[in-house]
Amino acid sequence: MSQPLSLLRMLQCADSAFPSGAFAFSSGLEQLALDGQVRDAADVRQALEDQIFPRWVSFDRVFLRQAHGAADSPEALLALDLQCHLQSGADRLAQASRRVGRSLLSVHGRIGTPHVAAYRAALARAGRGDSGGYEPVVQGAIGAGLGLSPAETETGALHAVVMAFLSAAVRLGRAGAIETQALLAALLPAMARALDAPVAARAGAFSPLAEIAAQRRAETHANLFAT
Amino acid sequence: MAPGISLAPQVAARLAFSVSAGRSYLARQFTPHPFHITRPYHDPGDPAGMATLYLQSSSGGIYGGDDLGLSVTLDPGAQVHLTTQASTVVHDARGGPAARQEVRLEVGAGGWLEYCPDPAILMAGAALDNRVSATLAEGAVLILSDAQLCHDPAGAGRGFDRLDSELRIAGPEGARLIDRFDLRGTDWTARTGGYGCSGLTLVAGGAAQAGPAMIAALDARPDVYAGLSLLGDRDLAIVRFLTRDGVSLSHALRESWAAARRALSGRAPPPRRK
Repeated sequence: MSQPLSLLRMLQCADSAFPSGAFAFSSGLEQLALDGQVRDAADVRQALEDQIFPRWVSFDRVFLRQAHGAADSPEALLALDLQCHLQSGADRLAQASRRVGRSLLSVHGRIGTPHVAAYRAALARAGRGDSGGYEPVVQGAIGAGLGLSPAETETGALHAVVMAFLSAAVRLGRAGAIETQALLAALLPAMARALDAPVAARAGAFSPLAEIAAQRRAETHANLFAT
Repeated sequence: MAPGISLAPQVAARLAFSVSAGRSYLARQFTPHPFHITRPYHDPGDPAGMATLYLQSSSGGIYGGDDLGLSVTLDPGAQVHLTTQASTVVHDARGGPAARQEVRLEVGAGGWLEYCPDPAILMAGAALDNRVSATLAEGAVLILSDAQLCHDPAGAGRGFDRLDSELRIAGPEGARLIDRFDLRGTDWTARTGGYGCSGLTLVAGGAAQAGPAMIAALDARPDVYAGLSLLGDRDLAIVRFLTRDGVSLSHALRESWAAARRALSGRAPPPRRK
């Protein structure tokens, strides 16, 4: 595939207008803000650099890359999805990942992205319609289906997770729209370096502050976000 | 030999508990140096027949290059509270091989195991591979704690070298949870948001009762930042917590365990003397 076409496809999927549902989640930012752990743009940047970004690099990226390489095997994708499920011990973050993943599967199923129909059918056959469909596995399969390289798929996924977090920061009043763009510009070199680095051999994550924050979200409060 | 890899044979301790006339007892033991254990005892405040055993170390902690294994087996129906006398110090590896600690827990049908060690103190320069796995038979209950804190005796802000941690929980149906991370000491402060201590208490079996009780106990403490993950499809409840100091961490460990015990047995446990 020509590079402009693959870039256009990556931009389409990573755009906030794409109905993935990812922008309904704050990755614990809403509760961090309520708990006074994130108060301003500097805190937003720190949370992104210290919690969200490392977690994506050491956990989501590993599953995404493996799924990209296994996209033509629904059974291999199922095995990766189960492994992701077993390694997702934070219930709220796991629910968010599954909701976004299943939403992506639904939309890409409708627009005919290769690999998606076979994977959805495999999930249904395995009875994992509710407990499966984790986002990084789905992203890897979709990236391969669209003809994106692993690097392009990862770039789009990292961009989406960072933008969802920054968008949440704006909506929660912890950073202004211009501030977040400045923040993103400052972060881009670090994001590029991470994407250039080798993928970790196995997935794992230690980000207790963000995990605890996501789990502390009270069901009874009027929340803007689902995590 | 490649740096960071120890070829020393593993020093493996084994403890096996059985039940006789409703009382759990230590049926077999093998505790080579540096493992040491106290005599098991039965506290009338515990569930009937539950044995309590303290693990000790005769070496003053874990050193770089150590390879320690502990296997604990409970026969069906056995009930055991297994803890330590004090925190385990993981000493400076001085750039040498990491220490390795592997704990395997097997709980027979209807058994009840509380594996509640005190926190690991990761000294400046410490390097530890920590593996804990638990396999539960039908109807078994597990309450498990895992906690770490950092300490630099020189006060120079030097962290531990690395912590490679893996916790595996399996039930009769197969794997339920794999909690894994590989952390450099220089990243600790960023990942914890500046908290010095981190821990968790996990309950397998009766999670729906124990989970809300644990988080209620921790939420009552302003010095503990805690969250509950309730994995109903796997009958697991996990409370994770961060604290500023070791005293608060010990409170969080003790109170989450006590709340789980109370929720599952209907009775608060008697405090353990340490």
